[in-house]
Amino acid sequence: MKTKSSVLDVAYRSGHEKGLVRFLARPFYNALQYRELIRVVLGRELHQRFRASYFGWVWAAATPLLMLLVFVAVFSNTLKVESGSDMNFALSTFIGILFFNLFAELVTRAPLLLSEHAHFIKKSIFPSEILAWTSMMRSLAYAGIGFVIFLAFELYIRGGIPPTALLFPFILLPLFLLLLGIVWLLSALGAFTRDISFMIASVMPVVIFATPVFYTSLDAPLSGRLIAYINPLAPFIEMAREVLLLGRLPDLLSYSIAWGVSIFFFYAGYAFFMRFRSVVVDVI
Amino acid sequence: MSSEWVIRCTNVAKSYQIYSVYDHRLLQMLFGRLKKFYQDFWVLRDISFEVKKGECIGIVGRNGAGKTTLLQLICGITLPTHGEIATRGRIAPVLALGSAFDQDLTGRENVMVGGAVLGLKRSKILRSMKSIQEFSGIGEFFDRPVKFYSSGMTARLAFAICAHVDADILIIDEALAVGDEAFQSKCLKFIDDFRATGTVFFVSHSVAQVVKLCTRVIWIENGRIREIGDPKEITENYQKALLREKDDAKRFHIGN
Repeated sequence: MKTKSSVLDVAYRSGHEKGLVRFLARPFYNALQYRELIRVVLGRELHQRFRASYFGWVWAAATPLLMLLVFVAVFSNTLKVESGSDMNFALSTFIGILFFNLFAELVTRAPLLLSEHAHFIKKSIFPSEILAWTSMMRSLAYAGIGFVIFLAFELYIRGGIPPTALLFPFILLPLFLLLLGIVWLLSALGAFTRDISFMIASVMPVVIFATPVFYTSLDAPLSGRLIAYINPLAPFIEMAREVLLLGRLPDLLSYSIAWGVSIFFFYAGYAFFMRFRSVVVDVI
Repeated sequence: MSSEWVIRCTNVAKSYQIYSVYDHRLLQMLFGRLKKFYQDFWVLRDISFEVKKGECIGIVGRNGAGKTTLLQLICGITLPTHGEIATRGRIAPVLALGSAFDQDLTGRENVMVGGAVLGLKRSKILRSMKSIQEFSGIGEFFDRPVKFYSSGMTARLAFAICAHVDADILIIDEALAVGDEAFQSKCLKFIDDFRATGTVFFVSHSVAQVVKLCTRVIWIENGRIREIGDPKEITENYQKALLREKDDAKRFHIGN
Protein backbone atom coordinates (compact mmCIF):
# COMPACT_ATOMS: atom_id res chain seq x y z
CA MET A 1 0.00 0.00 0.00
CA LYS A 2 1.43 3.32 -1.04
CA THR A 3 0.63 6.36 1.01
CA LYS A 4 1.24 9.99 0.25
CA SER A 5 4.65 10.96 1.47
CA SER A 6 5.49 14.46 2.48
CA VAL A 7 8.39 16.49 3.72
CA LEU A 8 7.45 15.60 7.26
CA ASP A 9 7.20 11.97 6.37
CA VAL A 10 10.67 11.99 4.95
CA ALA A 11 12.02 14.02 7.85
CA TYR A 12 10.55 11.54 10.26
CA ARG A 13 11.89 8.47 8.52
CA SER A 14 15.30 9.87 7.75
CA GLY A 15 15.48 11.06 11.33
CA HIS A 16 15.77 7.46 12.27
CA GLU A 17 19.39 7.76 13.21
CA LYS A 18 19.15 11.30 14.48
CA GLY A 19 17.26 11.39 17.75
CA LEU A 20 16.66 15.12 17.76
CA VAL A 21 15.16 15.36 14.29
CA ARG A 22 12.90 12.49 15.13
CA PHE A 23 11.86 14.09 18.38
CA LEU A 24 11.10 17.39 16.68
CA ALA A 25 9.20 15.86 13.77
CA ARG A 26 7.18 13.40 15.80
CA PRO A 27 4.22 15.56 16.96
CA PHE A 28 3.64 16.82 13.42
CA TYR A 29 4.13 13.44 11.84
CA ASN A 30 1.69 12.00 14.33
CA ALA A 31 -0.97 14.60 13.54
CA LEU A 32 -0.46 14.05 9.83
CA GLN A 33 -0.80 10.33 10.23
CA TYR A 34 -4.16 10.72 11.99
CA ARG A 35 -5.47 13.61 9.92
CA GLU A 36 -8.58 11.72 8.86
CA LEU A 37 -9.44 10.98 12.44
CA ILE A 38 -8.75 14.56 13.49
CA ARG A 39 -11.05 15.75 10.78
CA VAL A 40 -13.89 13.46 11.80
CA VAL A 41 -13.60 14.15 15.53
CA LEU A 42 -13.46 17.88 14.85
CA GLY A 43 -16.44 17.71 12.55
CA ARG A 44 -18.37 15.81 15.16
CA GLU A 45 -17.67 18.42 17.81
CA LEU A 46 -18.53 21.40 15.67
CA HIS A 47 -21.65 19.69 14.47
CA GLN A 48 -22.73 18.53 17.88
CA ARG A 49 -22.57 21.96 19.46
CA PHE A 50 -25.28 23.41 17.26
CA ARG A 51 -27.25 20.33 16.45
CA ALA A 52 -30.38 20.99 18.44
CA SER A 53 -30.59 24.70 17.62
CA TYR A 54 -32.38 26.61 14.90
CA PHE A 55 -29.84 29.30 14.30
CA GLY A 56 -26.70 27.24 14.70
CA TRP A 57 -23.68 29.29 13.85
CA VAL A 58 -25.50 32.57 14.38
CA TRP A 59 -25.11 32.00 18.12
CA ALA A 60 -21.39 31.63 17.77
CA ALA A 61 -21.28 35.00 16.04
CA ALA A 62 -23.76 36.64 18.40
CA THR A 63 -21.53 36.67 21.47
CA PRO A 64 -18.54 38.53 20.01
CA LEU A 65 -20.82 40.83 18.05
CA LEU A 66 -22.79 41.84 21.14
CA MET A 67 -19.60 42.22 23.10
CA LEU A 68 -18.09 44.54 20.55
CA LEU A 69 -21.26 46.63 20.36
CA VAL A 70 -21.31 47.01 24.12
CA PHE A 71 -17.65 47.97 24.13
CA VAL A 72 -18.15 50.62 21.53
CA ALA A 73 -21.21 52.00 23.30
CA VAL A 74 -19.61 52.04 26.74
CA PHE A 75 -16.15 53.20 25.88
CA SER A 76 -17.16 55.94 23.50
CA ASN A 77 -19.40 57.62 26.09
CA THR A 78 -18.15 57.02 29.58
CA LEU A 79 -14.49 56.12 29.71
CA LYS A 80 -11.99 58.61 28.44
CA VAL A 81 -8.80 56.89 27.60
CA GLU A 82 -5.66 58.90 27.15
CA SER A 83 -3.87 57.00 24.45
CA GLY A 84 -5.58 57.16 21.09
CA SER A 85 -9.24 57.54 20.35
CA ASP A 86 -12.13 55.82 22.11
CA MET A 87 -12.85 53.58 19.20
CA ASN A 88 -9.30 52.39 19.22
CA PHE A 89 -9.71 51.47 22.83
CA ALA A 90 -12.82 49.44 22.11
CA LEU A 91 -11.12 47.60 19.26
CA SER A 92 -7.95 47.11 21.25
CA THR A 93 -9.90 45.64 24.15
CA PHE A 94 -11.79 43.43 21.75
CA ILE A 95 -8.54 41.93 20.49
CA GLY A 96 -7.56 41.25 24.07
CA ILE A 97 -10.89 39.59 24.78
CA LEU A 98 -10.68 37.42 21.68
CA PHE A 99 -7.29 36.08 22.69
CA PHE A 100 -8.27 35.66 26.28
CA ASN A 101 -11.47 33.80 25.41
CA LEU A 102 -9.60 31.48 23.09
CA PHE A 103 -7.12 30.76 25.85
CA ALA A 104 -9.77 30.44 28.56
CA GLU A 105 -11.95 28.06 26.59
CA LEU A 106 -9.04 25.76 25.80
CA VAL A 107 -7.57 25.80 29.27
CA THR A 108 -10.89 25.28 31.00
CA ARG A 109 -11.71 22.32 28.83
CA ALA A 110 -8.28 20.71 28.72
CA PRO A 111 -8.33 18.93 32.11
CA LEU A 112 -11.62 17.25 31.22
CA LEU A 113 -10.64 16.49 27.66
CA LEU A 114 -9.60 12.90 28.24
CA SER A 115 -12.51 11.88 30.44
CA GLU A 116 -14.85 13.51 27.93
CA HIS A 117 -13.53 11.09 25.33
CA ALA A 118 -13.14 8.15 27.69
CA HIS A 119 -15.46 6.00 25.59
CA PHE A 120 -13.06 6.24 22.67
CA ILE A 121 -9.91 5.86 24.70
CA LYS A 122 -11.06 2.85 26.67
CA LYS A 123 -12.98 1.02 23.99
CA SER A 124 -10.81 1.40 20.94
CA ILE A 125 -7.25 1.97 19.87
CA PHE A 126 -7.54 5.72 20.00
CA PRO A 127 -4.56 8.08 19.68
CA SER A 128 -5.59 10.43 22.47
CA GLU A 129 -2.84 12.93 21.64
CA ILE A 130 -4.91 14.15 18.70
CA LEU A 131 -7.53 15.53 21.07
CA ALA A 132 -5.31 18.54 21.71
CA TRP A 133 -5.36 19.31 17.98
CA THR A 134 -9.12 18.94 17.63
CA SER A 135 -9.74 20.92 20.78
CA MET A 136 -7.55 23.75 19.54
CA MET A 137 -9.07 23.78 16.07
CA ARG A 138 -12.54 23.91 17.55
CA SER A 139 -11.70 26.91 19.68
CA LEU A 140 -10.00 28.54 16.72
CA ALA A 141 -13.16 28.20 14.68
CA TYR A 142 -15.05 30.28 17.25
CA ALA A 143 -12.23 32.75 17.64
CA GLY A 144 -12.20 33.04 13.85
CA ILE A 145 -15.80 34.23 13.83
CA GLY A 146 -14.90 36.91 16.35
CA PHE A 147 -11.90 37.87 14.28
CA VAL A 148 -13.95 38.36 11.13
CA ILE A 149 -16.33 40.59 13.08
CA PHE A 150 -13.38 42.54 14.35
CA LEU A 151 -12.03 43.13 10.84
CA ALA A 152 -15.45 44.20 9.61
CA PHE A 153 -15.74 46.72 12.44
CA GLU A 154 -12.29 48.07 11.92
CA LEU A 155 -13.02 48.53 8.24
CA TYR A 156 -16.31 50.24 8.99
CA ILE A 157 -15.15 52.50 11.80
CA ARG A 158 -11.72 53.44 10.58
CA GLY A 159 -12.20 53.01 6.87
CA GLY A 160 -9.30 50.61 6.45
CA ILE A 161 -7.14 47.83 7.81
CA PRO A 162 -3.40 48.44 8.09
CA PRO A 163 -1.33 46.35 5.62
CA THR A 164 0.65 44.88 8.49
CA ALA A 165 -2.47 42.82 9.26
CA LEU A 166 -1.16 40.43 6.62
CA LEU A 167 1.52 39.48 9.12
CA PHE A 168 -1.07 38.35 11.65
CA PRO A 169 -0.81 34.64 10.70
CA PHE A 170 2.87 34.73 11.60
CA ILE A 171 1.92 35.85 15.07
CA LEU A 172 -0.68 33.10 15.36
CA LEU A 173 1.72 30.35 14.40
CA PRO A 174 3.76 30.32 17.62
CA LEU A 175 0.54 30.87 19.58
CA PHE A 176 -0.85 27.60 18.22
CA LEU A 177 2.22 25.74 19.37
CA LEU A 178 1.99 27.32 22.80
CA LEU A 179 -1.69 26.46 23.18
CA LEU A 180 -1.20 22.87 22.01
CA GLY A 181 1.58 22.40 24.53
CA ILE A 182 -0.56 23.80 27.33
CA VAL A 183 -3.50 21.58 26.38
CA TRP A 184 -1.32 18.45 26.37
CA LEU A 185 0.10 19.33 29.73
CA LEU A 186 -3.22 20.12 31.38
CA SER A 187 -5.14 17.25 29.86
CA ALA A 188 -2.63 14.70 31.13
CA LEU A 189 -2.62 16.24 34.59
CA GLY A 190 -6.39 16.63 34.59
CA ALA A 191 -6.87 12.91 34.03
CA PHE A 192 -5.20 12.22 37.35
CA THR A 193 -6.93 14.79 39.51
CA ARG A 194 -10.04 16.91 39.27
CA ASP A 195 -8.28 19.62 41.24
CA ILE A 196 -6.63 20.92 38.10
CA SER A 197 -10.02 21.62 36.61
CA PHE A 198 -11.32 23.33 39.76
CA MET A 199 -8.16 25.32 40.11
CA ILE A 200 -8.39 26.64 36.58
CA ALA A 201 -12.05 27.53 37.00
CA SER A 202 -11.26 29.62 40.07
CA VAL A 203 -8.08 31.18 38.70
CA MET A 204 -9.42 32.20 35.29
CA PRO A 205 -11.37 35.31 36.43
CA VAL A 206 -8.16 36.58 38.02
CA VAL A 207 -6.03 35.77 35.01
CA ILE A 208 -8.05 38.12 32.85
CA PHE A 209 -6.71 41.03 34.91
CA ALA A 210 -3.18 39.67 34.79
CA THR A 211 -3.48 39.69 31.01
CA PRO A 212 -3.33 42.96 29.08
CA VAL A 213 -6.95 42.77 27.96
CA PHE A 214 -8.34 46.05 29.31
CA TYR A 215 -5.00 47.81 29.20
CA THR A 216 -1.75 47.52 27.32
CA SER A 217 1.39 46.53 29.17
CA LEU A 218 2.84 49.91 28.29
CA ASP A 219 0.18 51.75 30.29
CA ALA A 220 0.39 49.41 33.24
CA PRO A 221 2.36 50.26 36.36
CA LEU A 222 5.59 48.39 36.96
CA SER A 223 3.99 45.48 38.83
CA GLY A 224 1.48 45.12 36.01
CA ARG A 225 4.20 45.09 33.43
CA LEU A 226 6.02 42.41 35.38
CA ILE A 227 2.94 40.18 35.37
CA ALA A 228 2.52 40.79 31.67
CA TYR A 229 6.05 39.58 31.06
CA ILE A 230 5.43 36.33 32.91
CA ASN A 231 2.07 35.78 31.22
CA PRO A 232 2.83 33.90 28.01
CA LEU A 233 -0.33 35.23 26.41
CA ALA A 234 0.60 38.90 26.86
CA PRO A 235 3.18 39.30 24.07
CA PHE A 236 0.76 37.77 21.56
CA ILE A 237 -1.97 40.25 22.42
CA GLU A 238 0.45 43.15 22.21
CA MET A 239 1.84 41.98 18.88
CA ALA A 240 -1.63 41.43 17.47
CA ARG A 241 -2.58 44.99 18.43
CA GLU A 242 0.48 46.32 16.74
CA VAL A 243 -0.11 44.64 13.40
CA LEU A 244 -3.90 44.83 13.38
CA LEU A 245 -4.53 48.28 14.85
CA LEU A 246 -1.41 50.37 14.96
CA GLY A 247 0.05 49.26 11.66
CA ARG A 248 3.46 48.69 13.21
CA LEU A 249 5.84 45.79 12.99
CA PRO A 250 6.23 43.94 16.28
CA ASP A 251 9.50 44.11 18.10
CA LEU A 252 11.73 41.38 16.70
CA LEU A 253 13.13 40.50 20.10
CA SER A 254 9.75 39.86 21.71
CA TYR A 255 8.67 37.95 18.62
CA SER A 256 11.70 35.68 18.93
CA ILE A 257 11.11 35.19 22.63
CA ALA A 258 7.49 34.29 21.92
CA TRP A 259 8.68 31.63 19.49
CA GLY A 260 11.18 30.29 21.98
CA VAL A 261 8.63 30.02 24.78
CA SER A 262 6.07 28.46 22.47
CA ILE A 263 8.42 25.83 21.13
CA PHE A 264 9.46 24.95 24.63
CA PHE A 265 5.85 24.53 25.81
CA PHE A 266 4.93 22.61 22.67
CA TYR A 267 7.57 19.93 23.02
CA ALA A 268 7.46 19.80 26.79
CA GLY A 269 3.69 19.36 26.69
CA TYR A 270 3.87 16.68 24.03
CA ALA A 271 6.61 14.74 25.79
CA PHE A 272 4.73 14.94 29.07
CA PHE A 273 1.50 13.75 27.50
CA MET A 274 3.11 10.86 25.67
CA ARG A 275 4.89 9.74 28.80
CA PHE A 276 1.61 9.34 30.65
CA ARG A 277 -0.61 8.41 27.76
CA SER A 278 -0.60 4.69 28.38
CA VAL A 279 -1.24 5.11 32.10
CA VAL A 280 -4.15 7.46 31.55
CA VAL A 281 -6.34 4.63 30.21
CA ASP A 282 -6.37 3.02 33.64
CA VAL A 283 -7.37 6.13 35.57
CA ILE A 284 -10.09 7.83 33.55
CA MET B 1 3.38 -24.51 12.74
CA SER B 2 4.63 -22.68 15.78
CA SER B 3 5.80 -19.77 13.68
CA GLU B 4 2.27 -19.02 12.51
CA TRP B 5 1.02 -17.39 15.69
CA VAL B 6 -0.78 -14.08 15.39
CA ILE B 7 -1.20 -13.41 19.10
CA ARG B 8 1.23 -14.55 21.73
CA CYS B 9 0.95 -13.83 25.43
CA THR B 10 3.76 -14.81 27.75
CA ASN B 11 3.29 -14.58 31.51
CA VAL B 12 1.03 -11.61 31.18
CA ALA B 13 -0.17 -9.97 34.37
CA LYS B 14 -2.14 -6.81 34.88
CA SER B 15 -2.76 -4.94 38.06
CA TYR B 16 -4.89 -1.88 38.45
CA GLN B 17 -3.80 0.66 40.96
CA ILE B 18 -6.47 1.18 43.57
CA TYR B 19 -6.29 4.45 45.43
CA SER B 20 -7.98 5.01 48.75
CA VAL B 21 -7.82 8.74 48.14
CA TYR B 22 -8.50 10.03 44.67
CA ASP B 23 -5.72 12.60 44.68
CA HIS B 24 -3.06 10.05 45.44
CA ARG B 25 -3.10 9.45 41.70
CA LEU B 26 -1.48 12.80 41.17
CA LEU B 27 1.05 12.17 43.94
CA GLN B 28 1.84 8.79 42.40
CA MET B 29 2.28 10.41 39.02
CA LEU B 30 4.68 13.00 40.36
CA PHE B 31 6.55 11.13 43.08
CA GLY B 32 5.96 7.54 41.95
CA ARG B 33 9.62 6.69 42.15
CA LEU B 34 9.84 7.50 45.83
CA LYS B 35 6.75 5.93 47.29
CA LYS B 36 3.83 3.72 46.38
CA PHE B 37 0.50 5.41 47.05
CA TYR B 38 -1.81 2.62 45.92
CA GLN B 39 -2.85 -0.96 46.46
CA ASP B 40 -2.57 -3.46 43.65
CA PHE B 41 -5.64 -5.11 42.26
CA TRP B 42 -4.50 -8.07 40.20
CA VAL B 43 -6.95 -8.56 37.38
CA LEU B 44 -4.86 -11.03 35.41
CA ARG B 45 -1.96 -13.26 36.38
CA ASP B 46 0.23 -15.75 34.55
CA ILE B 47 -1.62 -15.62 31.28
CA SER B 48 0.25 -17.47 28.55
CA PHE B 49 -1.13 -18.72 25.29
CA GLU B 50 -0.62 -18.61 21.57
CA VAL B 51 -3.24 -18.09 18.91
CA LYS B 52 -2.76 -19.23 15.35
CA LYS B 53 -4.13 -17.71 12.21
CA GLY B 54 -7.70 -18.73 11.41
CA GLU B 55 -8.59 -19.74 14.92
CA CYS B 56 -11.65 -18.51 16.73
CA ILE B 57 -10.92 -18.21 20.41
CA GLY B 58 -13.80 -18.00 22.85
CA ILE B 59 -13.29 -16.61 26.31
CA VAL B 60 -15.63 -17.61 29.10
CA GLY B 61 -15.61 -16.72 32.76
CA ARG B 62 -17.62 -15.06 35.45
CA ASN B 63 -18.10 -11.32 35.81
CA GLY B 64 -14.87 -9.69 36.88
CA ALA B 65 -12.75 -12.67 35.90
CA GLY B 66 -10.65 -10.44 33.64
CA LYS B 67 -12.08 -11.19 30.21
CA THR B 68 -12.45 -7.63 29.04
CA THR B 69 -9.08 -6.64 30.46
CA LEU B 70 -7.49 -9.46 28.50
CA LEU B 71 -9.09 -8.15 25.32
CA GLN B 72 -7.95 -4.62 26.12
CA LEU B 73 -4.42 -5.87 26.61
CA ILE B 74 -4.42 -7.69 23.31
CA CYS B 75 -5.66 -4.57 21.55
CA GLY B 76 -2.93 -2.55 23.19
CA ILE B 77 -5.43 -0.18 24.79
CA THR B 78 -3.85 -0.75 28.16
CA LEU B 79 -0.37 -2.06 28.91
CA PRO B 80 0.45 -5.22 30.87
CA THR B 81 2.10 -4.81 34.26
CA HIS B 82 4.30 -7.84 33.65
CA GLY B 83 4.88 -10.12 30.72
CA GLU B 84 4.70 -9.62 27.04
CA ILE B 85 2.07 -9.56 24.36
CA ALA B 86 2.94 -9.78 20.71
CA THR B 87 0.50 -9.49 17.86
CA ARG B 88 0.80 -9.74 14.11
CA GLY B 89 -1.60 -7.92 11.84
CA ARG B 90 -4.24 -5.27 12.17
CA ILE B 91 -6.60 -5.49 15.10
CA ALA B 92 -10.18 -4.27 15.01
CA PRO B 93 -11.37 -3.84 18.58
CA VAL B 94 -15.08 -4.23 18.90
CA LEU B 95 -15.21 -3.93 22.66
CA ALA B 96 -18.61 -3.32 24.16
CA LEU B 97 -20.24 -2.50 20.89
CA GLY B 98 -22.04 0.74 20.49
CA SER B 99 -20.90 2.25 23.74
CA ALA B 100 -18.65 4.57 21.79
CA PHE B 101 -21.58 5.97 19.83
CA ASP B 102 -22.43 9.59 20.11
CA GLN B 103 -26.07 9.76 21.13
CA ASP B 104 -26.80 13.03 19.33
CA LEU B 105 -25.38 11.99 15.99
CA THR B 106 -27.26 9.93 13.45
CA GLY B 107 -26.35 6.37 12.63
CA ARG B 108 -24.70 7.51 9.42
CA GLU B 109 -22.58 10.08 11.24
CA ASN B 110 -21.61 7.57 13.86
CA VAL B 111 -20.44 5.26 11.11
CA MET B 112 -18.10 8.03 9.96
CA VAL B 113 -16.74 8.57 13.47
CA GLY B 114 -16.60 4.89 14.35
CA GLY B 115 -14.94 4.01 11.08
CA ALA B 116 -12.31 6.70 11.54
CA VAL B 117 -11.63 5.51 15.08
CA LEU B 118 -11.17 2.00 13.73
CA GLY B 119 -8.64 3.43 11.28
CA LEU B 120 -10.64 3.45 8.07
CA LYS B 121 -10.08 6.01 5.38
CA ARG B 122 -12.92 8.40 4.67
CA SER B 123 -13.23 7.26 1.08
CA LYS B 124 -13.43 3.65 2.18
CA ILE B 125 -16.15 4.39 4.73
CA LEU B 126 -18.18 6.28 2.15
CA ARG B 127 -17.83 3.40 -0.27
CA SER B 128 -19.05 0.86 2.28
CA MET B 129 -21.82 3.07 3.65
CA LYS B 130 -24.59 1.43 1.65
CA SER B 131 -23.43 -2.02 2.53
CA ILE B 132 -23.18 -1.07 6.22
CA GLN B 133 -26.71 0.26 6.13
CA GLU B 134 -27.92 -2.96 4.55
CA PHE B 135 -26.06 -5.18 6.97
CA SER B 136 -27.46 -3.31 9.97
CA GLY B 137 -30.99 -3.63 8.64
CA ILE B 138 -32.29 -0.68 10.64
CA GLY B 139 -33.87 1.03 7.65
CA GLU B 140 -34.74 4.69 8.04
CA PHE B 141 -33.37 4.84 11.55
CA PHE B 142 -29.95 4.92 9.93
CA ASP B 143 -30.47 8.66 9.49
CA ARG B 144 -31.95 9.30 12.94
CA PRO B 145 -30.00 10.18 16.09
CA VAL B 146 -28.73 7.14 17.92
CA LYS B 147 -30.49 8.20 21.12
CA PHE B 148 -33.78 7.09 19.56
CA TYR B 149 -32.45 3.57 18.88
CA SER B 150 -33.41 0.48 20.77
CA SER B 151 -30.50 -1.45 22.26
CA GLY B 152 -30.89 -4.06 19.54
CA MET B 153 -30.63 -1.43 16.83
CA THR B 154 -27.50 -0.01 18.42
CA ALA B 155 -25.88 -3.42 18.47
CA ARG B 156 -26.89 -4.01 14.85
CA LEU B 157 -25.30 -0.78 13.72
CA ALA B 158 -22.16 -1.42 15.72
CA PHE B 159 -21.69 -4.89 14.34
CA ALA B 160 -22.37 -3.66 10.83
CA ILE B 161 -19.45 -1.23 11.16
CA CYS B 162 -17.12 -3.93 12.42
CA ALA B 163 -18.10 -6.21 9.60
CA HIS B 164 -16.65 -3.66 7.19
CA VAL B 165 -13.30 -3.11 8.82
CA ASP B 166 -10.24 -4.50 7.11
CA ALA B 167 -8.57 -6.37 9.90
CA ASP B 168 -6.60 -9.50 10.54
CA ILE B 169 -7.80 -9.93 14.11
CA LEU B 170 -11.36 -9.23 15.15
CA ILE B 171 -11.97 -8.75 18.85
CA ILE B 172 -15.57 -8.95 20.00
CA ASP B 173 -16.77 -8.38 23.54
CA GLU B 174 -20.29 -9.61 24.32
CA ALA B 175 -21.46 -8.19 21.05
CA LEU B 176 -24.34 -10.39 20.14
CA ALA B 177 -26.14 -10.48 23.44
CA VAL B 178 -28.93 -8.08 22.50
CA GLY B 179 -29.51 -8.87 18.82
CA ASP B 180 -32.44 -11.08 17.86
CA GLU B 181 -31.97 -14.61 16.56
CA ALA B 182 -32.09 -13.59 12.92
CA PHE B 183 -29.42 -10.95 13.35
CA GLN B 184 -27.32 -13.21 15.52
CA SER B 185 -27.19 -15.89 12.90
CA LYS B 186 -26.19 -13.27 10.34
CA CYS B 187 -23.33 -12.19 12.61
CA LEU B 188 -22.29 -15.75 13.33
CA LYS B 189 -22.14 -16.44 9.64
CA PHE B 190 -20.02 -13.34 9.17
CA ILE B 191 -17.61 -14.41 11.90
CA ASP B 192 -17.37 -17.85 10.36
CA ASP B 193 -16.54 -16.36 6.97
CA PHE B 194 -14.09 -13.95 8.50
CA ARG B 195 -12.03 -16.83 9.81
CA ALA B 196 -11.03 -17.72 6.26
CA THR B 197 -8.71 -14.73 6.26
CA GLY B 198 -8.39 -13.73 9.87
CA THR B 199 -8.53 -14.59 13.51
CA VAL B 200 -11.36 -13.97 15.93
CA PHE B 201 -11.36 -13.37 19.66
CA PHE B 202 -14.78 -13.69 21.15
CA VAL B 203 -16.15 -13.07 24.63
CA SER B 204 -19.64 -14.30 25.33
CA HIS B 205 -21.83 -15.53 28.13
CA SER B 206 -23.80 -17.59 25.67
CA VAL B 207 -22.32 -21.07 25.83
CA ALA B 208 -24.30 -22.14 22.79
CA GLN B 209 -22.67 -19.47 20.66
CA VAL B 210 -19.22 -20.27 21.94
CA VAL B 211 -19.59 -23.95 21.14
CA LYS B 212 -21.00 -23.21 17.71
CA LEU B 213 -18.38 -20.70 16.72
CA CYS B 214 -15.09 -21.31 18.46
CA THR B 215 -12.25 -23.66 17.72
CA ARG B 216 -10.75 -23.26 21.17
CA VAL B 217 -11.94 -21.87 24.47
CA ILE B 218 -10.11 -20.17 27.29
CA TRP B 219 -11.77 -20.28 30.67
CA ILE B 220 -10.59 -17.49 32.92
CA GLU B 221 -11.21 -17.51 36.61
CA ASN B 222 -9.97 -14.96 39.12
CA GLY B 223 -7.52 -13.62 36.60
CA ARG B 224 -5.90 -16.95 35.79
CA ILE B 225 -6.45 -19.41 32.99
CA ARG B 226 -8.32 -22.29 34.57
CA GLU B 227 -8.71 -24.39 31.49
CA ILE B 228 -7.93 -24.05 27.82
CA GLY B 229 -8.86 -26.36 24.97
CA ASP B 230 -11.81 -27.96 23.23
CA PRO B 231 -14.95 -25.77 23.30
CA LYS B 232 -17.43 -28.50 24.15
CA GLU B 233 -15.42 -29.97 26.98
CA ILE B 234 -14.49 -26.69 28.58
CA THR B 235 -17.88 -25.06 28.39
CA GLU B 236 -19.32 -28.18 30.03
CA ASN B 237 -16.82 -27.98 32.85
CA TYR B 238 -17.48 -24.26 33.13
CA GLN B 239 -21.21 -24.73 33.43
CA LYS B 240 -20.81 -27.47 35.98
CA ALA B 241 -18.54 -25.22 37.99
CA LEU B 242 -21.08 -22.45 37.84
CA LEU B 243 -23.68 -24.72 39.41
CA ARG B 244 -21.32 -26.10 42.01
CA GLU B 245 -19.58 -22.90 43.02
CA LYS B 246 -22.38 -20.48 43.82
CA ASP B 247 -22.14 -16.76 43.26
CA ASP B 248 -19.67 -15.57 45.84
CA ALA B 249 -20.16 -12.10 47.31
CA LYS B 250 -16.52 -11.88 48.37
CA ARG B 251 -15.20 -12.48 44.88
CA PHE B 252 -14.08 -8.93 44.14
CA HIS B 253 -11.41 -8.18 46.68
CA ILE B 254 -8.43 -5.87 46.55
CA GLY B 255 -4.90 -6.72 47.51
CA ASN B 256 -3.14 -10.05 47.51
